[in-house]
Amino acid sequence: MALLFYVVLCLSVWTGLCQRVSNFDADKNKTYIDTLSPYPTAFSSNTSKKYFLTKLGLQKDYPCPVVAGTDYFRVGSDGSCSTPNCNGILPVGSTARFRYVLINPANKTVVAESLWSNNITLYPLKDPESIDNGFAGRSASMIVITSILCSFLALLLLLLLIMLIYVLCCREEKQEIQVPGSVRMYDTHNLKDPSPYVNRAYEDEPQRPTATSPIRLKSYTDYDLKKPATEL
Amino acid sequence: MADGKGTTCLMVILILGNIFGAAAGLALCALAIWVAVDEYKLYPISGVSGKDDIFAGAWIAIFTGFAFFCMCVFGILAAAMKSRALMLTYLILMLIIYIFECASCITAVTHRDYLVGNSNLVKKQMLKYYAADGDSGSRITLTWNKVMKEVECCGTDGPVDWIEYNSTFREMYGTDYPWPTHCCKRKNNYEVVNVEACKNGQNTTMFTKGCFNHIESVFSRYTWAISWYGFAVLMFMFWLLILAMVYYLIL
Repeated sequence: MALLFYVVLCLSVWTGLCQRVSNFDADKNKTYIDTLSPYPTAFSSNTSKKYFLTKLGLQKDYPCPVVAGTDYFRVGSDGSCSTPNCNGILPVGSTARFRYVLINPANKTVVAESLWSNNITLYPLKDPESIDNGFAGRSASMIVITSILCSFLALLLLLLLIMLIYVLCCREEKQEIQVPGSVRMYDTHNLKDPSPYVNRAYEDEPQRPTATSPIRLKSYTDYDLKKPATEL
Repeated sequence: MADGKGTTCLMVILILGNIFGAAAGLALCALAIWVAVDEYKLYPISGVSGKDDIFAGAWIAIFTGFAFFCMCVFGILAAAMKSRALMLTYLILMLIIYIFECASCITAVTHRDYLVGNSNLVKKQMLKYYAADGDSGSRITLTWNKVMKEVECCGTDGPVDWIEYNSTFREMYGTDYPWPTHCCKRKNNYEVVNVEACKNGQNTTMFTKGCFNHIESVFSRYTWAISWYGFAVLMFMFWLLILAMVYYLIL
């Protein structure tokens, strides 16, 4: 007789032991075992049996050696289904065990069975909003760049300000009159000074052998006949 | 001038410094253009989260880099003409550009920390927006598909992200596919090698490493281009400006 191959899935709650193993074991010897706890009602309430059988198929479909692609069984591949022996998904975050059973197709009694597997705990489905994407910490390079740049900028501003204040307030006597194209300084001919006249306005021109004055007048404060030129 | 030789020496140093500064500024402009172009096409990850100031820093750096170039050319002119007015103009304008470049560097590096300091923000965004409707959803989906295919990775820290957390993808497509099919290895004709094995998580048929390393390295590369190179240029410009101030004082 062709035997039917079933997988039994049993759910345990919180204690880590399969308390509901006892449910299946209690029903084990009854007939029509595949209908005693259909999938839709297996986990629906606190009083449900919390196990279900999922049909794999006839024994002849599973010869040894293992055919490629048949060496795993995916629990829940039918998704949320409603037939009694469908391969539906387990409740989220639960702990489950499974075993294989061979069932006599005539009266659906258990003929042979494997041992219970170890506990398999499913991933609890966490809410992505629970991920804290707030403060990820500051890297060292950020601190270095920010602090050094800010301090250098402040230093630069400060130095520029000091320089401007110095130039505006403390260097009045050194200001030149920038009058483009006109004579820079004009000294009257002085009969008392018999030295050859050197017109300092043409200071910048190439030096002729007769021109002896190497000094370039730097400042001109107040052209006043009472006050002679300050530098010579 | 009393110290004519000193002035000339400083003028030569200033001119050389400005030539170098012009080249550095132009290079900054070019590097910032490279960042703004975003060859890795990862802008949506930063754009959707609102932390896209790495690219804002790049745009500022394009302009400040070019401005540094122009100002340094002007500085060569001002130094050669020994003109106080021009030197003062040079100093003030350079300072304004300096301030903007500082802003660019600092903003790029702080936003990099927000974005890829740890994988939380990228992971949350992926779970929320992958396969979602709307403009943000489609951009994120396209970006992640591209990254998963090219870098051969799945999820942020690994495929476990898709089953550990609820996501828009799971709500849309149910639990049959625990993760997107882009996590599966594909043949050269773009067909998935083995869909069932991929769904089961067999690591010979799917990608098991996370994509966060790649994303983090790309954003870090952009940030180092803008902020560290900008920092180097600013350090050089600082000393150049100090010299220019001294030159202005003795002019």
